[in-house]
Amino acid sequence: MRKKIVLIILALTAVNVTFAAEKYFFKKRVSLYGGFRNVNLSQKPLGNNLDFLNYVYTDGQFDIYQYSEVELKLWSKENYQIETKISFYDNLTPYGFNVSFNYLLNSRVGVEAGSMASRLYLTEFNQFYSHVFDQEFYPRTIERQWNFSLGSVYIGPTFQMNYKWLQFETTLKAGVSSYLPFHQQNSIKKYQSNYKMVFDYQTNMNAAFFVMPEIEIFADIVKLNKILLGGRFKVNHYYSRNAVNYKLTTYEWTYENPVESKVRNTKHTFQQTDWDFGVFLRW
Amino acid sequence: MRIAFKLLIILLLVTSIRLISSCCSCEDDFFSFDYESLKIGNIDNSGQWSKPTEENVMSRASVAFEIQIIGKEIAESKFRPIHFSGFNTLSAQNCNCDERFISNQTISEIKIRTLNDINSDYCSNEDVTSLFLANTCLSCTDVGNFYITISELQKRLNPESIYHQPINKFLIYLTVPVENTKAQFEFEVLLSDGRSIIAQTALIEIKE
Repeated sequence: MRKKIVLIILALTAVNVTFAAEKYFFKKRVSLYGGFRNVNLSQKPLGNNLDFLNYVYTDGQFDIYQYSEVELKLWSKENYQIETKISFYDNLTPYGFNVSFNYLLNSRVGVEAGSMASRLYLTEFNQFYSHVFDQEFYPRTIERQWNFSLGSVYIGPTFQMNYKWLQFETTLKAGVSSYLPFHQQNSIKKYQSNYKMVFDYQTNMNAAFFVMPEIEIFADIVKLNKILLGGRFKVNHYYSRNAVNYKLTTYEWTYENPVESKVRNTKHTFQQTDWDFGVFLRW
Repeated sequence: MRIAFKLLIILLLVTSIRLISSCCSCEDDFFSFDYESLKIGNIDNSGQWSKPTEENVMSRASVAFEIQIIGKEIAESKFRPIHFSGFNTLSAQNCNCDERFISNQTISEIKIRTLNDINSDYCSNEDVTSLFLANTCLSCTDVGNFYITISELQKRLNPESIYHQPINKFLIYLTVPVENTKAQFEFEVLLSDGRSIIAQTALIEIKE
């Protein structure tokens, strides 16, 4: 029900913005497309501390990262463009967004700045405790974190070109990204014993450089009155090296006398490729 | 005519306000009770989850018991609102209230004594209360299953009221391994009225 309300609010907002923008923007485009995401994270040897990035759903698990996206792009008379995208995984849960501002220096070259976020899913990271404690403990989850987000801000050159019924848009996004903070609590209980421990993880922001080249191709198909219907293809590749660091609070037997430590994990190479296809309406 | 109409409106308003307050008032009904006895059951905590067991065999590091401090209901107390004849609150015919019990005493202390040597540091007849931890539910979430100290338990054992049955139930866990082949403990619950209730666990056979 909440998802439906969010979708209705978003649709109404988009329609309102579009009509309100009539005066300021001479061209508008609404796109709807679907695609899949190929996530690749380098694995690191298991150490004494839980490294969440070793337990992210990655390559070969496309069903998790299938997505659909709604995009609205507005062209102003003053050489700037505004683009907003909202992404949904296949269960229609909004998982990401991209808001960007594009200033054209001439008819083809411009500068784009923006912000985006996307979500990564976690596998059974409780297996970590079996590794560290040699199967002598039962891992138990107190508060399960199924996913976490990757947030980024960027700036980069953009190149746009029209050729008859085709339009090309390429952007080289580069900036700072971080895995957004989340909280996780696990416990372990020793086999044949009353002994229990609780591990409380509070991750923190850890900025790292990223780069993401992107190519979009739009093909006009048919013009209906003043509205043009077309097809669209996009591919982008995200690259960064970052870690999920956290404050670890360890409890033995009771919540009294916690032991706190700051854990800095090694950086993983994170690569993500999005492929998507869809349709657009432009007027 | 106008005055009669106004009076009718005022009467209807007053009646509707009375209707709003006509829901079941579960907090008004309770039973008072006295703590009477102590029942101790064995807990198998060798696996991932605690579960009650009839067997008197436990692993040396997973000795655990379920303690029930049982009360006997002595009276039903009901706060009954005054009803004016001719203008009673409309009330539900059937209220599904959970039975609520309020103890006449508070639990002031719990003492645990070992009846066998646990190890070289804790010998027979010594107070070993500090060696035990507790939790207050058997099948709740993990958060509830993490342990609390006996002193923390004592703070939680005197809620304002208990629902369903006049029984105060909790689990206790021994935190040191038993270096003996047998283990047995005596529990003493001290009450605010000066009484104490005492019970012993079964004689537990310790397995490797």
